[in-house]
Amino acid sequence: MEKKLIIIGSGLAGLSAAITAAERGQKSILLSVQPPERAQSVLAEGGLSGELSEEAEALAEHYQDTMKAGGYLAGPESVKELVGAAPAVIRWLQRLGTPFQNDGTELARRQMGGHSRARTVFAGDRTGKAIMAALADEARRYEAAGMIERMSSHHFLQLILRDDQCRGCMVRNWRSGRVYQLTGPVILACGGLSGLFPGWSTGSGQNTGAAAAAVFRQGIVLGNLEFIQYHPTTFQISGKRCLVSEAARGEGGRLFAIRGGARWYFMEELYGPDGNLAPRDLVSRTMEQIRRRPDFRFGGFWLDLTGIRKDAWKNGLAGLHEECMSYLHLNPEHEPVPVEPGIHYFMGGILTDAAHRASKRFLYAAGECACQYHGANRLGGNSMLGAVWGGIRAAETAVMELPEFQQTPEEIEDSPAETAEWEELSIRVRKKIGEILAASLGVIRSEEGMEKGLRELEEWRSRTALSRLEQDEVLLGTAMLRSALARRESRGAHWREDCPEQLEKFQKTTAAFYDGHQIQIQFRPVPGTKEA
Amino acid sequence: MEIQIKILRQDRPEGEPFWQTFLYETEDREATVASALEELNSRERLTDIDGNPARPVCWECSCLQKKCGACAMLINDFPALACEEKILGHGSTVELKPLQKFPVVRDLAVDRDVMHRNLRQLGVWLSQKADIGRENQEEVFIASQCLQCGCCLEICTSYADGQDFYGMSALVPAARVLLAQGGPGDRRMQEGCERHIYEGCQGFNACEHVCPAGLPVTRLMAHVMQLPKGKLLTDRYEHSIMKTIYE
Ligand SMILES: Cc1cc2nc3c(=O)[nH]c(=O)nc-3n(C[C@H](O)[C@H](O)[C@H](O)COP(=O)(O)OP(=O)(O)OC[C@H]3O[C@@H](n4cnc5c(N)ncnc54)[C@H](O)[C@@H]3O)c2cc1C
Ligand code: SF4
Ligand code: SF4
Ligand code: FES
Repeated sequence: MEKKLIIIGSGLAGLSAAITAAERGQKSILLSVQPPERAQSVLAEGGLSGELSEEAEALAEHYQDTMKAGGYLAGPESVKELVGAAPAVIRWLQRLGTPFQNDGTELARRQMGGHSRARTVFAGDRTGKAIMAALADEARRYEAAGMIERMSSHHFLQLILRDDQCRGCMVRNWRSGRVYQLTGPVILACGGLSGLFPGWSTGSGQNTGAAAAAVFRQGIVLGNLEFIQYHPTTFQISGKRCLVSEAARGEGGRLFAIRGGARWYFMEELYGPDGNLAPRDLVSRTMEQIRRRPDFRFGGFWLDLTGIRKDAWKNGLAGLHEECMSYLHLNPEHEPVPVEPGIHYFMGGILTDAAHRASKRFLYAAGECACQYHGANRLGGNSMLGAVWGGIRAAETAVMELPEFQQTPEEIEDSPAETAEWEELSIRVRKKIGEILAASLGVIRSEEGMEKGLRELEEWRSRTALSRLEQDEVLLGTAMLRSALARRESRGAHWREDCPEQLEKFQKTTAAFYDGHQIQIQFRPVPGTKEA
Repeated sequence: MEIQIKILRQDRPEGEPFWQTFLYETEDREATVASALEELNSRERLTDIDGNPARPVCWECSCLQKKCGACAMLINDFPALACEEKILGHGSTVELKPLQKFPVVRDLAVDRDVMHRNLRQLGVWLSQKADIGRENQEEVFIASQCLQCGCCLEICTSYADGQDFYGMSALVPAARVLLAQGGPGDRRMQEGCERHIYEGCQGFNACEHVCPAGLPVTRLMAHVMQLPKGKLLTDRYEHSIMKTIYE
């Protein structure tokens, strides 16, 4: 039987992987819960970061910015590759018809937080959607040519593992309810964990984390789970947190708090004139510290966007304008926007090497579900770059290794339908787990708070009847808490008031895995460093 | 305020539709139909208005902020996004039905695959390197924003089952490709648009009126139809990422 790659997820990473495989003449199955138009990637606003030329100095700066913001936990080799590939990735997306803003000769770039210069290309403030439309069209071309088989109403359930190899996976068509197995190397491109925090995050509820939870239970190594990015500027809307893109600060937005009845532009006062564009971890932490200060009555945080030029609103922030009007009923050109930090991105995930291999043979991961490019804190625009490039790179590796994937006769027989019950993951259970985790894994953490979270999760689990998927999610949540407890220091997005120093000995990857009985947490050398 | 949410439910694609009513309580003026559905599904035991146990309501959602098109349904007989419609804007009773132009999967979830099939049918992809001039930049951007929600098809009197007339959910992505290509269009796609969209369209713009993304579909159609007819393009694989990198 013809071998096919199995790609789980059709966001930026999944689409890029499927297109790359097809370019290489390799067929793939592109499987997701919903079609690409509904993937979280369509929400990305501010842009994609990358240099436009291969000039060494510029690439070195992008590398430095990324490593520094990530607290030196990102894999140096992979980050080098990532920033080096960026100019070509941008050219490729342009050729596929992504309408990046330009003046006819050069692409426009905007400044995002933590970048030493403006290097983020964008399409208004709907960049993700514009890129996704281009990639979805390109994937359709290969689909029509029979190279990509689209399965867009399926849940990934678990891997099929044998002799330390990934042999394929079990999936369920949620429309028909049918459960079956697919044989082939698997690329996981299933996005972040925002669905584990329903109501608390800016992302899509479709990314329930069920896939990551299942593979974790099966023994796959996850990395850096404690690093959760809180975006400093979000506001609550019905059912979720709505993002105010960092692009708004890139165009001149200024954060302030109310102190003694007057505006206090705290980022500027504390960190200088460019303070508003500090990396996200620092801004969110500063806000949290201010909120806790006993010396003044806290009156909320606001983003002052009144200094933004008219044409910047029109060309770059029209979506934000509309959101402020429709959700907050205020005109951000004249009135400040109330903001709070909100859960936005997961730096941790399935641990991979620079070629995107996960901890079992023939298993790969790319995009937000993977852990390697962003270390302890991700820079604006780097995740779209990481998702597109990661998908490409993972597919390259998988295609190269495919000849070694020998299908056995039983596998070729194929698809004995699984009889076991796979119940749905209920929103009630996700809300409860999210509530406990969000309370204990906030912007500023403490041993006490996290221990309490662990106890609550365990107590609640012991008196609640949970389905298999739900038990997996609890296990993943526990691993997040255990990873955060084990890292007894403060770095990037992981800030502990009881261990406020950054310690040399923790310049390591937190590796979490489940040995069938309990969760193991280890600190391993960062991949691609001398120690590794 | 107490609201009765009446939902037209169905257990299976070939099952019989039936109505079920639920009580929902909110004072929050910003609460949407989506948050109401989420609240119903979060209840420990979901019961209908008569106290009968009910299984969770099946509906599709992803972004909860009008950007993914997943949650389109009929809300008091009007196609709209559940995450956009404020529930208190509808008085004390809100009726929810699955979109009627598509086969029902379960409850409010429908099978919209036909939209994608028609894009394939039309050949909506670039056959050559994009060349977006400054003058087309904004139009290509707008045309890249279609949610594939299907509201335009639901409201359209010309659209039946997508066999012959494809509607605006096909036109908008096609416009993206035709305008991004620059110069004269791809003749095959142009003829497809003419045959499967333009010729069957009555032009009353109901689609534009309901489009939750606010897309100027009539303008896009006019723009596409104005393009000079191009050659029949055959696929060339010149925009490969690896070639881009190693060139
Ligand atoms: C509001 C917002 C704004 C953002 N703005 C930016 C920005 O400006 N710049 C930037 O660089 N990044 C931004 N990001 C982050 C960035 O968008 C994401 O990290 C990136 O798009 C992730 O892409 P992905 O392909 O990994 O996953 P996703 O796009 O999340 O796709 C995940 C896919 O996996 C599928 N899936 C999930 N679970 C399962 C399962 N169990 N079974 C089967 N399939 C499954 C889903 O159906 C989906 O197709 C933003 C994020 C948000 C939420
Ligand atoms: S203008 Fe009228 S007939 Fe034409 S696609 Fe829109 S709704 Fe249908
Ligand atoms: S044109 Fe508008 S209504 Fe139609 S599918 Fe696209 S977004 Fe939805
Ligand atoms: S859930 Fe995405 S549009 Fe409603």
